[in-house]
Amino acid sequence: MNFRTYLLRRTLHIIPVLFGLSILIFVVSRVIPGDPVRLALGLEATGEQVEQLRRQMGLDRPLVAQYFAYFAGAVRGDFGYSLRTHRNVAQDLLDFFPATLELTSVAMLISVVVGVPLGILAAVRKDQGPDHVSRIVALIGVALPRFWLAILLQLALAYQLRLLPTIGRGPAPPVHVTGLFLVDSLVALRLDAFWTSLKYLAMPAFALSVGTLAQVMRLIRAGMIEEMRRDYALAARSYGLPPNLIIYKYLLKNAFTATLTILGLSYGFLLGNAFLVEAVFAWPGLAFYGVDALRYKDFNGVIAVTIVIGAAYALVNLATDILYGYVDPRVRYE
Amino acid sequence: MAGRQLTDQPGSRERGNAGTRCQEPLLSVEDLVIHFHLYEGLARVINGVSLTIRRGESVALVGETGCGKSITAKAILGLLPPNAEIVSGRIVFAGRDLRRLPEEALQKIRGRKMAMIFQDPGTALNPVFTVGDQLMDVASWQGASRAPLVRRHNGELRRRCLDMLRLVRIPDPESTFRRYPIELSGGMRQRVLIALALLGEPDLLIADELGTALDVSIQDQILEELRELVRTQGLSVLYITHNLGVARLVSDRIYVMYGGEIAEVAPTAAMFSRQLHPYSQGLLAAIPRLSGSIGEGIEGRIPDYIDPPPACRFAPRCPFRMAICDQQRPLLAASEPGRLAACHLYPASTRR
Amino acid sequence: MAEIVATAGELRVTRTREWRKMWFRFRQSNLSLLGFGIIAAVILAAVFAPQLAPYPHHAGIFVDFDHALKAPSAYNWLGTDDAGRDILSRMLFGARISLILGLMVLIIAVAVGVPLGVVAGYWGGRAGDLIMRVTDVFLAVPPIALALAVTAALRPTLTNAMVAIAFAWWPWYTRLVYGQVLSLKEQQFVEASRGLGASRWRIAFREILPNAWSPIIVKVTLDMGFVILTSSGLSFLGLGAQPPTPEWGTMIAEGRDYLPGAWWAATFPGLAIFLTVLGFNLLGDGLRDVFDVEIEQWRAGN
Repeated sequence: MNFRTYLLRRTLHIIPVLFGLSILIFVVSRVIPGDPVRLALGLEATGEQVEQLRRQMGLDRPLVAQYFAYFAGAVRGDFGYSLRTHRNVAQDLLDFFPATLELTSVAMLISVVVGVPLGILAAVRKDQGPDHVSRIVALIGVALPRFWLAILLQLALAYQLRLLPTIGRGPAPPVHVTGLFLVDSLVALRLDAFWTSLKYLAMPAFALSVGTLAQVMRLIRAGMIEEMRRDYALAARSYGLPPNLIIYKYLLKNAFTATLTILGLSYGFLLGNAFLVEAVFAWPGLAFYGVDALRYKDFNGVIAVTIVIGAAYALVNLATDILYGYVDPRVRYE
Repeated sequence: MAGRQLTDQPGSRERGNAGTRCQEPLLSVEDLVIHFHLYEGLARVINGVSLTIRRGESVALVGETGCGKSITAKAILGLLPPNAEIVSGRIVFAGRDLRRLPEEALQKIRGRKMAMIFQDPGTALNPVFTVGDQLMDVASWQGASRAPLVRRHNGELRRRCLDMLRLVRIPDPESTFRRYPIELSGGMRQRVLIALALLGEPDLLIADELGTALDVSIQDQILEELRELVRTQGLSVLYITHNLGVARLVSDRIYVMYGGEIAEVAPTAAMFSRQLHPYSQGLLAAIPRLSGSIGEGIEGRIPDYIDPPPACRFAPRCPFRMAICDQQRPLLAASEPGRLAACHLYPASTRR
Repeated sequence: MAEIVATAGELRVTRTREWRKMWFRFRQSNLSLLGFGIIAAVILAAVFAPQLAPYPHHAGIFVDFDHALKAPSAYNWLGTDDAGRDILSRMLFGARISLILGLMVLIIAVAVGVPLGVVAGYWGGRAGDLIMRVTDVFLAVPPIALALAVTAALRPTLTNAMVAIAFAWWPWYTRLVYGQVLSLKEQQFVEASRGLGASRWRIAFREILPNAWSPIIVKVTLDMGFVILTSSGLSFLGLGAQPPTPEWGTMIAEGRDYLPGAWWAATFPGLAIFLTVLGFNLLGDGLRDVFDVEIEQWRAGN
């Protein structure tokens, strides 16, 4: 089967999966004890008012009908009405999503930019000092509770040393193009805004990145060591090619493509951990919104957040698949 | 890189070297001993191997799988794995002892002075870069201590690479240049490997089991073409093979190797008309022929390098085994003019 | 008959020899031993918490505001929290909670996920496809997110957190076992059993599954750490164990309000989580080396 067909199948596969996911979450959230409407209106509300709102929200109709109504709306971009924020959930999503996107993307970037060179170093100096250090760092990184690390960083860098701001995302840049503060401030050519946003982003992104960084480091190390053993590596040496060319071009490309697929999976864990990190730093992102929605039993909010996260995760995995095919010609010519 | 024309002009090198045949050999391996540090113990794989190759000469190193021929080749290039240790011996190339040279100096020699053509074209080419990219890399950075990240466009080098592809008889060099290894057939890939080895204009080629991963007819074709190339360029070649037929086709002299040692050395024609060492006899008898009886194999297996036979390593399998074969290691000595054998059947091999 | 019995006896001896060899290999790695040691210590702390804790009654409902937020001292080695409770004692009881929770989650995940994986892998067909599709749906969202979503439906308690995490965790085992069964299915001993007339159920569960145990054991060990990370995260967010339960995540959340002054209340429980997870990771890595196992990371749609 050639690559294009494979990609097409993968893309189409996402749809039933998200569909199933929405059903799953919908069922789980609606089939509960407890009454969200009453919660929202408060104890003083009369039975009549509760009933009225229920009818208005369509909560009195059978479950299946509710689902179809929801689905019809979702496809149009209408994710319902939030009982908590008193706004359209879709609007809430648009407001909160870019912050999470920025946070997770920068965390991923840190993981790769720091993890890859360290992995190469560990591989090239296998079983020596740097390798052992990297192994310890990796073990620690994977075991650290993200939220604990976040708190410690906050304690040390923000409270004690006063180097970085404690919580929040900071002021928005003057231009709103993408909702990503770093990008927007560059678009507006305001380096001071860029710097400020960066300072707010530093701790949360780093705390989030630690686990994935450790993983990338070990994967690159393992990949490089494996590639070093291959025939083409020996052949490259036999032609007299300089070592830095062999390591950074010939070996690295092969090792990196092998880690691409796992990077996609790791993104999911980044998204999951974003919930915790955003809570610690009061980062106004989707996960933060989701946690509040959970606390207040705002189901439309919860469902929407879950679906968005599922979609983001699926898209990232699809993107890594495409990238993989672009980088490794063997996949294309199967 | 000034110098030689990559043309099919016959004898261009021969003429230059006429009369220098009797100068010192291009490559001289002297009593090489290599040990491998394995999990199970110390494997004494190469146990005193010596061979010489003169300029313009084609030599075959023949032996069954596991006898150590590939390891010898890698040792010559300085590409042994980390758990291998060259215990003693010299590897003299163009007058210099390669064992004494630092890695940077060795790197300058690789590709430029001696190059290896690898065995399996499927794995010896980097799969994620185009053929042209790999050729240009070798042409540009061979022997350099560092390469910059970006390669500037160099028409001259590109033409050289395309010429090289033409030289190895690749039909459409331009399009092959742009392709990835996976898009090429096995035969094409093998030719690319040859091209890569020849790019640096080496004096010595080492061909490791050339073509064994390919279809037999393609293997024959490529061997013929290489032989022709070698002749016109005046190159020295070390052919490593387990296939006596190949050795007969391409070499001037044959070294028979067994269990990490050289068993016999002879000019090719002489080797095929009469073999001295029992192992060589067994090898030739084992070749299937179209007429006559089916050849016999040789009983037994290659020695265990961790616990090898105490003296002659072939003794356990030898039909002419004598008492002395288990006590004293036979020397590789001239039993007749121009022929060497390591066997107690010949008095020259036994110490008094 | 006697021959078969004799062979079975030999098998048992070979198994013992296998175990010995594996233990020997395990002993060779210092890090694995360290992991083993850490987990042993945690288990001991959990089991003997009432005996080891200086103030065992602090683990439940207890207030003593005179001694609230005291720094680490001879009386309270790790200090006290905002209600005056000894942090060390609470942490020891917290070990109980974390270990039991991890165990329960994984028991459920394995009990649900493994049989489904065997069925999907061995029988295949429509049922198999359906099972794997459902698995894909569950795996479309990161496990923490899914667990959080499920807690929305339930009241926030420790038990419900456990259910939610198990809900998110089982599909990973299905996928793992599915891959294992697929590759084991082709091997010769299966054909041999079929030839002898064994039923499909027997083959699936008594022949194939025992050979697939090693990656499952490795994964369970590693997962203990990750489940504890997840559950403490949920508790931290207030969606799992509720105060006054001395769960480590809850303790961090409680102590957080008193930063930066009373740093010990939030720091030490986190250290406990870190060390426990580290221990399970080291142990799992060691087991993986011993079993020489590769856990396949299957991706959606493959």
